[in-house]
Amino acid sequence: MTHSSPLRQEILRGAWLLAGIMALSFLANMPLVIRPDVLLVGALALAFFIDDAYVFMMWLLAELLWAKYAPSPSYELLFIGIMGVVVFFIIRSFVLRPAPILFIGAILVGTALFWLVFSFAHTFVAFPFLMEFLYNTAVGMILFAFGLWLKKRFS
Amino acid sequence: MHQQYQRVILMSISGILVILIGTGFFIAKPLEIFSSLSHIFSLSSIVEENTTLHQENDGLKNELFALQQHIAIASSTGEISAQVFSAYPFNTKNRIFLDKGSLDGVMTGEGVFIPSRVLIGQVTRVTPHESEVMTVFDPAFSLPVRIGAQQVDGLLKGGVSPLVTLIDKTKPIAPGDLIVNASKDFMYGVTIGTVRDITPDTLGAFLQTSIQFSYSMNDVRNVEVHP
Repeated sequence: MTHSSPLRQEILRGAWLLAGIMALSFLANMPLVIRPDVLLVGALALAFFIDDAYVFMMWLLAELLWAKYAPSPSYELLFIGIMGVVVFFIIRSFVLRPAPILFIGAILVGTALFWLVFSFAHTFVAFPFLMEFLYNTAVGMILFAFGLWLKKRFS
Repeated sequence: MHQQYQRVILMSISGILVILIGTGFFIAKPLEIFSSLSHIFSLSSIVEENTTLHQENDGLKNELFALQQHIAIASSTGEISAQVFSAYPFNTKNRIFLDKGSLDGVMTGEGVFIPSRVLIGQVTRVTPHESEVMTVFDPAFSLPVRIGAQQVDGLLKGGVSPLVTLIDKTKPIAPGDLIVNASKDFMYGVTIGTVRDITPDTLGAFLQTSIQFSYSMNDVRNVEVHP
C-alpha cells in the first residue's frame, strides 16, 4: 500500500480548508449590521495549517482571487495577503505548534491593523471593531477546529 | 486531541450563540435572523414586495413634500440606470459597485438613488465601465439635511447606524418627519429617510435622531445615477 506524498497531503488539506472558508463566507452575506471578516480569518487559518510555503501561497492566492469584489485590485485584499504571508513566516520561524490562543492573538492583531489602516479616521476604538473581533474569533475557532481535524486526516 | 476538538467546537458554538443573542441587546437593529431564514425559504417575494411598497411610499412622500414647499420636482431626463453587481465586503466602509462607468456618462460626485427617488449615496470613483458609490451607511459620508415641514436643519453623519445631528433643540421635530437633502451637490428635497428616535446628543447641546430607511442596502439591485 502506497502512502500519499506529503506534498499531495498538503494540497488536499489546503483545498479542504479553502472549501471551509468559502462555506463560512455565507455569514458575510447575512443581513447583519456587523459581519465577520471571513477572508482575513481564512488567510490566517491557511497560514497556521499549511506547512509548505508554495502550497500556502497557491491557496492564499486562490482565496484572494475568489474574494475579488471590485474590477480593479484592492488594497484591502493585498493587506490580507501580506498578513497571511507574515503570519506564515512567524509561525514557521518562532512557533513549534499552533495553538488556539495564538490564533486568537493573530486574529486580534490582524483585525486591529485592518481597522487602523482602512477605517474612516483610522481608528479601531469603536463598537463595530469590537463586534467584528468577536465574530472573527467565533469563525476562527470553527476554522481552527476544522484545521486540526484536517491536519490529523491529511498527515 | 479528541478532547481538544470538543473543547474548540464547544467554544465556537457557544461563542456564536452568545454573540448572536447578545448583540440583540446592544445594537439598535436586531440581527433579523428569522427574516434571513424567511429569505432562504419561501417568503422572499413578500419581503421584496414590502420593500418596493416602502420605496414607493417614500417617493410619494417626496413628491408631497416638494409640492408643499413649492419646489419644482427635477425631471427624469439625464439619469443613468445601473445595477449593483458587488458590495464592499468589510465593515470599515459601506460601498457598492455599479455596472456603469465614465463611458456611460457617470461622473464622480453624482448622486445615486433607488427608483423611488430616495438618495442612497454618492459616486466616489469611476472607471470606464464601473463606478464605486459611497452609501449613507459609510462612516465617511456626511450631508446637510432638512427635517419635516418646518425644514429644520441638521447634519447627516453616516455609519453603521446613520444619525442626523446638530439639530436645534428649540425646533419642532417628531418621529415620522421626512428627512430630505439640503446639499447643493444633489437635487434639493430628495428623500433620505424618516425620523425614528429623537435623543439629546452626547453634550446635550443639540438633538440627534436615528433614521428609518425604507430599504435595506442588502436588497438594493437597481439604482439611478443623477447628474
